[in-house]
Amino acid sequence: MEIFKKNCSAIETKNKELAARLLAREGASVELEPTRSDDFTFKYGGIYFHSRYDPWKEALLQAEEIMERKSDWVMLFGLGCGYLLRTLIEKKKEKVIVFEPSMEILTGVLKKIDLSDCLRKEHIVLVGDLIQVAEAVRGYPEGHDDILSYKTVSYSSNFPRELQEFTNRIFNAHITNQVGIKTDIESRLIWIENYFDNIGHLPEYPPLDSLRDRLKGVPLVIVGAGPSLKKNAGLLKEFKGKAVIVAAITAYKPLLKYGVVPDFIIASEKVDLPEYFTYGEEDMNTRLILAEISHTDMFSREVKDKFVFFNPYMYLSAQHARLWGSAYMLSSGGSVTTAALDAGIMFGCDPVVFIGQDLCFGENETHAPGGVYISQDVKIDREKGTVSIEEDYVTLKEKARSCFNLQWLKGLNGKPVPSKFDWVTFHQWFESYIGILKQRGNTVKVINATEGGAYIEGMEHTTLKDVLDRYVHKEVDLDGVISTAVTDRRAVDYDGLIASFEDMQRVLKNMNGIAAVVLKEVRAAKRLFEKNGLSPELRKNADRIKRLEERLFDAGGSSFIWESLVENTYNLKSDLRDDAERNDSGRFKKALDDIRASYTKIVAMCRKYRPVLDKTIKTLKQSRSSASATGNGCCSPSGVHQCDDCACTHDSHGTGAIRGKRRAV
Amino acid sequence: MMTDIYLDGKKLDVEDAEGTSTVKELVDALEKELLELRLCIMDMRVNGERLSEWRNDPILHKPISEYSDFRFTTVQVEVLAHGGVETLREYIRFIQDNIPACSTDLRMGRKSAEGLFASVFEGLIEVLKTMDALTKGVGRYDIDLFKQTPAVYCKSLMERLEELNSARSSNDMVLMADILEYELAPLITEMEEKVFRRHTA
Repeated sequence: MEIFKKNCSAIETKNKELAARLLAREGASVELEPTRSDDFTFKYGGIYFHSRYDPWKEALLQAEEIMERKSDWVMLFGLGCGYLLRTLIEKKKEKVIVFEPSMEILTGVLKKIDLSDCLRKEHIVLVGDLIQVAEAVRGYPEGHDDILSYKTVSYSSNFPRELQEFTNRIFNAHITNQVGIKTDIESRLIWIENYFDNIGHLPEYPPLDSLRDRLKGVPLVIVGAGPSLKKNAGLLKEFKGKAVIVAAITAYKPLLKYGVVPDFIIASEKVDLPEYFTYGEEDMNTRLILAEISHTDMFSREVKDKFVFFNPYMYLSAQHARLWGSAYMLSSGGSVTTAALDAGIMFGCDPVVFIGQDLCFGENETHAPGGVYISQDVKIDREKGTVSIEEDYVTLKEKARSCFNLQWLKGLNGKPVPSKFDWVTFHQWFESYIGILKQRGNTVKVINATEGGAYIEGMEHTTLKDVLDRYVHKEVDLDGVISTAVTDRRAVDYDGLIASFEDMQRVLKNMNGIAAVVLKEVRAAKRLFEKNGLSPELRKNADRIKRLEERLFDAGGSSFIWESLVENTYNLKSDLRDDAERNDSGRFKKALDDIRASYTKIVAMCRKYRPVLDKTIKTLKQSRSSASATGNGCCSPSGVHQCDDCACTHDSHGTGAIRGKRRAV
Repeated sequence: MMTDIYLDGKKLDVEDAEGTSTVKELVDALEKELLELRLCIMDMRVNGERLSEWRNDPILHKPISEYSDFRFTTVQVEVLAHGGVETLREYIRFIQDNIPACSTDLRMGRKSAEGLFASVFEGLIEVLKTMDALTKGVGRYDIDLFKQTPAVYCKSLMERLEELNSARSSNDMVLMADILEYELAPLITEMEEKVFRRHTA
């Protein structure tokens, strides 16, 4: 038992859930038998998993095959007795995520073989279920890393279904990582700009957590715009007044076709979406939940009420949420329905029910009818693994065409359903989020009543009619609840906000100065390099640049300015990966070019945002005066809520029990 | 129609008055006479055409009278037996060369393992069959072909083949690789050393 405890303790460093599961397990475990080399092997499913003669020689063959293929991370399907893992580590391949599909094997092996030294290594991760596989891929490798999936013959013949799911999940999760980088590059600058554009709006609307715990035990229906919405949207009328209905903005107009006006519409897009509104009575009967980084024109839409939530992955939001009066950082998987789940749990709703959450393609459409798509034509090419979509969008004169790589999810009936990267990302997030909820002992029921589409592990799957019969009985005075919440909202700490932005001004000024000197040093170093090649004098320039960089990082701290340089950061990471292929001179020249490009960008960003900060401070001072005039004083800022009840993680888009890298910029 | 029979180029006088004797009867009669001369039939041509697998050919059961001529070539029994041993050693070399690649491919789960395994497995069966034929065939002529009788190795080889077959049935590639690499390969090497002479031809 000593070996087993030692192994579990090592696993616990990165995967508490698995360690706990192993320690609590009482089932059978595989019997290990000695080999001629005084090691171990075992039989499972009637076949041997390692050589009965020399398992190390066998592992070396497998390791060599892995080493031949260049990869940053190895995803190992099956731990076995750990020969391959240990051999990989000996060969300095130390970024390995191992998934063991059988608890029977895992327990048997960990009882007899001490793998604790391997399992304690920083980048050796052992996972025990398929949800954790996706989490590990999201948590450890970066989007631009190469991942190699490897399985031994015994595992692939014994666990074919698990292997297929394992491969799918790695593929899907890695695409999510890549999409994350793409989103970061495409969106972060716009989010920052939207945040500054919204400074005038943010004091006006209450933070979403004004509703914290005010809807305890009230059923919440989150409406997505998936093709299955047409199956049961009509029944939602029965929920009105007895449950809270939150619609994704894409589902708003389709719902109206069924005579249902949702209580809330949730929208966090960085672009304006005027085509989603009716500009009529319906708009005035619903409320908007907006992100602090939503497009500023969304704040001008005329609706009954508006609420704002803050995102933990934005430096500015994380710094300021409490100053805006919010003690809640929303956890989202990249879609408004994922965000709505976290918000619903924060409201205290139970059960939380999803409809129209297909996360896969319908017969010939991506969305339910009645929304912004007049017509759609979806063509799936299974052989090429692609899907092409042609659609008539309300605001476009010509048909829009797009093509995606096909991905697969397990369907409600157990068969694979065709999907694409964004839905797959949301799917992973749902499963991971619900897993964490359960680990934290949160007993809220999360029900998928889509009645079609993908199966979401951890959710109960049933019909909307069943939900109605079981849970929807009492009237809810939503207007009353909201009115009280708005009255009780925390006041904005204008002084704190103004002080924070003034501090940013000082930081930018300082950074701008240092970056300009770095650029001067780079120019001098380049002249010297062109004249004498790689010479000892260059070391002086390099040392000066290094010292300046240290000063810059000290001065800049974790300023939002680094976020605005996200594209540059990713490019630098890519360059570093290629660096090994260059000679010393090439590497030096490339480094100089990179430094010059980076610091030119820093100077440009500092100059860009100085007037923005001036304007922001001015706006806030005006708002403070208005607030004083109307009697709204400042309040003492409170700490950001730690979210014990929900599955927020605060530091990234993703959630996960298994955490590796921080998605730092 | 008269049928002409030749043995090593010489025409024989064969009587088949009723025209009902089969080719097999002819071959048996010839081999009976050749036994004392330590000769055996190696090659047969019918109507000028060579039959490569003549000992299994359906022609053996047909009447001689249906054909115009038969030409038989003989060989010394010793030459034939040593030739058989050489063929056997070629099989063994082929198997020895292929076992490492086969066991590696099995361990790695490569598709090529299937083809390699089939050739090794069938090669082993051929080795057993040839050893058996040689042992039985040369018994009549008192030829000293082997250093020691291969019978004991035949038994071990048979057992390994049965184990291999059973591992293959349960799709246990690791066990198949183990049997090939750690049991069959050393057994074959030992058999080659202990059974075969250095110079056989």
